[in-house]
Amino acid sequence: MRRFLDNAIESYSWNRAVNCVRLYSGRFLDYKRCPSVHEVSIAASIAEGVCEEASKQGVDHVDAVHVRIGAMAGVVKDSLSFAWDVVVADTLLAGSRLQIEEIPLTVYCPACETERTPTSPAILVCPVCQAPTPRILSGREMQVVGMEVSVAVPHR
Amino acid sequence: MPFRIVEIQQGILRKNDALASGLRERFAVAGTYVINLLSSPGAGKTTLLEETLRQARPRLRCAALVGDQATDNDAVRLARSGAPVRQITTGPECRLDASMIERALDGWLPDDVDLLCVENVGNLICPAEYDLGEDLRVALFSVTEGEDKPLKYPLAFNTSHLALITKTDLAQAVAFDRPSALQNVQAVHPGIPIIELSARTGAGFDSWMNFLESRVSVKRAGKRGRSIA
Ligand SMILES: Nc1nc2c(ncn2[C@@H]2O[C@H](COP(=O)(O)OP(=O)(O)O)[C@@H](O)[C@H]2O)c(=O)[nH]1
Ligand SMILES: [Mg+2]
Ligand SMILES: [Zn+2]
Repeated sequence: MRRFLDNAIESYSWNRAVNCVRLYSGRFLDYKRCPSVHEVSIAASIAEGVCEEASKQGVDHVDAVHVRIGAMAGVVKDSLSFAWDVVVADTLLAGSRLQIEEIPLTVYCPACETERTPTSPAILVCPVCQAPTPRILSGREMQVVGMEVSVAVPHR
Repeated sequence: MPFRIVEIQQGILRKNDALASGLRERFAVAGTYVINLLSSPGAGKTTLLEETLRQARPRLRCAALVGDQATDNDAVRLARSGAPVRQITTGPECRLDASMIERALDGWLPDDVDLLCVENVGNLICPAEYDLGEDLRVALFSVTEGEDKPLKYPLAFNTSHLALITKTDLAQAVAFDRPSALQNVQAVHPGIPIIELSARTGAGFDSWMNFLESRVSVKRAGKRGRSIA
């Protein structure tokens, strides 16, 4: 079992992810321009971290991976989901679901002295008083939160 | 089937961030000031660097790294300055990351470089996400690209320390709306300094060189010797 896992992890090195990007980038480039390759990289980074963690914990199958992505993070959710399936194929994450929680953009308004939600990530002004709001409180997140793993039912 | 949730809690790009911190430490020890240029293809990064290297040398010891998905044309252009230049060909990757910088530096970058210029892959999306250990991130756009460029790529402009508006010699020809461009930059990054320049005519170039050189000398003065804690 351990050997199987180690091999799975080994084969899932960063190189593998990069090869995967190489292999599929043509397809992604057709599908959409660069951002999709970008999401392939991001998906590979997520998968790499989760695979390591899974191996550490002796998990051999993962049902879902939970991530938090900020509204200002520059990651397209659909592209990331699409990239996920490609990137995790043939790894111990194969067939897992990527659960993306989107974190809204919030800023601190120095004039109102409170938290505000700008109307767009491109317009960092307070929607109430129009003051510039350089301080971002949330919306830049790129976090792995956890994984869902099946608990095997013991043989009786 | 019953399942359980295993908490992980880790930054998606934590490996890149850790490598970038390592690079930043290394540049602090060497007193090397590092700039990272972000723009769409053709905004004028290579031209800006050609002129920057020409003006900065030999007063400053300069070097340049340039990322492109294919070809080493830009490295050839920059190498004419006489500065050490290295091309990083990224293939399908649409940006540089810290591991690429680390690999490129090994056995190449002299210890006594004052200014290392990094030209990122022409793209305003992916490079914004990856810290390269730089001191100064610069987002460029040219007057020919439209005044709303910053609004379309907020993260790149928001994470940059300086915005450059390039090719101002062409402003009139394309009826560039300067006030709206400046306003858009400020909208995505309130308070960010903006320099407008033309590498062709040299207009505004002094402001850029002064901005850069003052920061380079601060970094050099604060150079951290290995023996000093
Ligand atoms: N008129 C004018 N053209 C420029 C200026 N800077 C760059 N260019 C031209 O813009 C094109 C793209 O420039 P380049 O430096 O290769 O852009 P990069 O892709 O961002 O590295 C080239 O044809 C340059 O000659 C400028 O200040 N004025
Ligand atoms: Mg170039
Ligand atoms: Zn307000």
